[in-house]
Amino acid sequence: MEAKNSWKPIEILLVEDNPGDARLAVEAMKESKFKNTLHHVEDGINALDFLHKRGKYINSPRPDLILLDLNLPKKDGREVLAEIKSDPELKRIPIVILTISKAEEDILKSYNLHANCFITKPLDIDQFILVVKSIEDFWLTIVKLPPQ
Amino acid sequence: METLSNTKGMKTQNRIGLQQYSILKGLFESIRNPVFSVDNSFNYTSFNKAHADIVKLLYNVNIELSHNMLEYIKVKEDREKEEHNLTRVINGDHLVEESVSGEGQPKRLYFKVTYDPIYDNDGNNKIIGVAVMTIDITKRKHAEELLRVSEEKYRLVADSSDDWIYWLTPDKKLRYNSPSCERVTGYNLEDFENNLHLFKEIVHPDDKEIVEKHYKSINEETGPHSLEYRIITKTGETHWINHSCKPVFDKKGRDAGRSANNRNVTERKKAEQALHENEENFKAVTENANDAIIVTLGNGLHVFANRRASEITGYSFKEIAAIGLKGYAHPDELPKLNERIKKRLAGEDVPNQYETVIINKQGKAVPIEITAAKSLWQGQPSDIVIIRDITERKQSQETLKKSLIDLERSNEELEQFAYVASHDLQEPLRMVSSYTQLIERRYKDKLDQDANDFINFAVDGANRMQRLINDLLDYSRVTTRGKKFESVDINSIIGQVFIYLQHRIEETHAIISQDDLPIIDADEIQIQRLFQNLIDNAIKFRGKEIPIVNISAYRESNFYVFTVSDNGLGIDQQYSDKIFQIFQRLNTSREYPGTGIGLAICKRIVERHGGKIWFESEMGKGTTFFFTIQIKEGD
Repeated sequence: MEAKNSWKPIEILLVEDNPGDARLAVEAMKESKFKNTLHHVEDGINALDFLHKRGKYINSPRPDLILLDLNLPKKDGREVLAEIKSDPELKRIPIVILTISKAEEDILKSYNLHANCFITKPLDIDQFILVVKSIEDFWLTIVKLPPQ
Repeated sequence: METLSNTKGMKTQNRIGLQQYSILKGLFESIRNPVFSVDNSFNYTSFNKAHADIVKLLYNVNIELSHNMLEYIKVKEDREKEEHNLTRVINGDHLVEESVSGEGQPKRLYFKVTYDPIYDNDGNNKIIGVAVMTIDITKRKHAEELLRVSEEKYRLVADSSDDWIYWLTPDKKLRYNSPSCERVTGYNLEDFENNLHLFKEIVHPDDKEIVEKHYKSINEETGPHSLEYRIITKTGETHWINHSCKPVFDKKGRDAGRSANNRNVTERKKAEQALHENEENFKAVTENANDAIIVTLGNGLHVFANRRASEITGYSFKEIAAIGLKGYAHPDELPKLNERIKKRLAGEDVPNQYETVIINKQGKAVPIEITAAKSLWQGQPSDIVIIRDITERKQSQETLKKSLIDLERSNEELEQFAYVASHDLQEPLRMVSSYTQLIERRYKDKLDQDANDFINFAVDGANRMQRLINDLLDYSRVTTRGKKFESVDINSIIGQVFIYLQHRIEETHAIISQDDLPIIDADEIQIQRLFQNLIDNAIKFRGKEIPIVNISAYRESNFYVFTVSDNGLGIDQQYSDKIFQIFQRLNTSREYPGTGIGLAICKRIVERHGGKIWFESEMGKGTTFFFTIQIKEGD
């Protein structure tokens, strides 16, 4: 398993409606020393289609990590989180909530829905890269998680 | 019975002839009044039947000629008097006398008696006897006596009367004046006798006209007249008199002047005037009152309603009296109102001030406030009801309620707006900031110093903008995300603030002291924030000396007043309002960093707790911030 991870790029699903934020994530990942493939969808419906390999996402890979924005059009991040965590097939995929909200209730609600991590999008680019780095560290820990 | 002396008769016979004698005798006898004559020895020389009858009546004797008449008079006094009179006439006097016979006898008779001497026929004026003619004046005397007695009686009554009574003759002379004139006018009988004009002179100047008119009218009419007017007494007091006068006629219907009765009615007038004034005052008060006043008797009858009652109900007093309470009370309210009136009049304790609704004449419901009281109306238990039209009050209450709801909604919307706006503003701001920094990160080596400066300004601007937005968000959260009030011990709050500010306290060697602080009902997080901001400010705006901060509290009625005082820079009093406004700063951000949100948030927190915040300061010496927190009822 461990050997496999060093060969295969990490599949990351980014659910983010704001192209600016999405691109920032992409740019930060470029600076990452891990090989990764970032899949970007813009709303909750597409995110779930991607995870269930529906429609145009029929050939999509199972992501190793989901970066989920809370404020999404159509189906918002909280609903997406709840659905993933109630699906036995998907619930083990680690989810990092990326949001600008500092509101306690958002944070509490996300943890209640079994979000693995909650990160407030920082204004400072250096901090953002730090966040991405912490996700890398986080990745190192999840590889030790039981297999799917 | 022979009534003329024979001897003398013979002589007369001789001289005048027999026939003439018969005529004279017949004439003599026909005189109804007693007539007799005596000689100088008091022996009858003649008498007629009337005389004989009267003597018989008086002394029960039959008289005869040539007998001494005195012997017939049984009453000694009468006899002596008769002798005296006869003797005087024999000596040459003429005598007319009123006499009374049978004094002490049951039938007393009064006479007017004329005594004339009889002269001898020889012409030598020798008196040979007395002729006595008696006129019975008993009837006249009796009438006079009756009149005298009755006059005395009436005088007695008039003299003792409280009323002042007088009688003026047709030529305006004073025929009678009662002594009570002095009691009524202060002037005595003598004053009136000496001054005939006094009657008019004592009349009060303001009443002279009506009195004059009265005198004028009585000259034209004959019936009784009465009027009331004021007089000025001798001592200068004003007395009211009730004057009534009527013409007086004697028995024969001749004008005997006017009699007048004058009663002192000052006390009555005063009472009347007081009553009148009371009534006038009542009228003035009720008619000008801005509230309706209605008086109801126990039987539900409306006996009084003022002008305003008509305005509020739309009904005239007559209509109100006719329709009664049930005619204008709201049907739903009527039973309650009736019961209250009944109970109140029965002396029971019922609400005497309450709101209700009436239906006016136009059919419109009018909200009113009633204030009721039990009273007496012309001696009967009554309910006095004061009615205030509270339409305007009700309307303004409604308007106020509506404005409050509007205000709350608008506040809510504003807070929602502030929250949403700050949330959504963050997104583009992050784009500006992040991509500017990404440029710097990737292309630093390829840019010149100017470009790097520009990037720094852009990033700095974006950072400040985010702080402002976060502060705005904080500010709006004071009310939108406020917690429920719970019992909070301020002493432990201050302890937590110390921990939070530990770094700054150590850095500045600040000395912070606190008095014993109360437990209050508040939002714990916000109260901590409040003290934190104030203490932080006290240290931040310190002078050259070590900052000394004291926190204390005292109670004032239903508030706690908290104080946070320092020995810092001080704040110019002209900024007393400005410093509590959002983003208002008194210093440059270079000297004292911050957005200027701290005190605005403090104010908002205090206001949410029903209090006020202010400060007192002396430049260079320090500042004391005061704020009040409402004490929960029951504490």
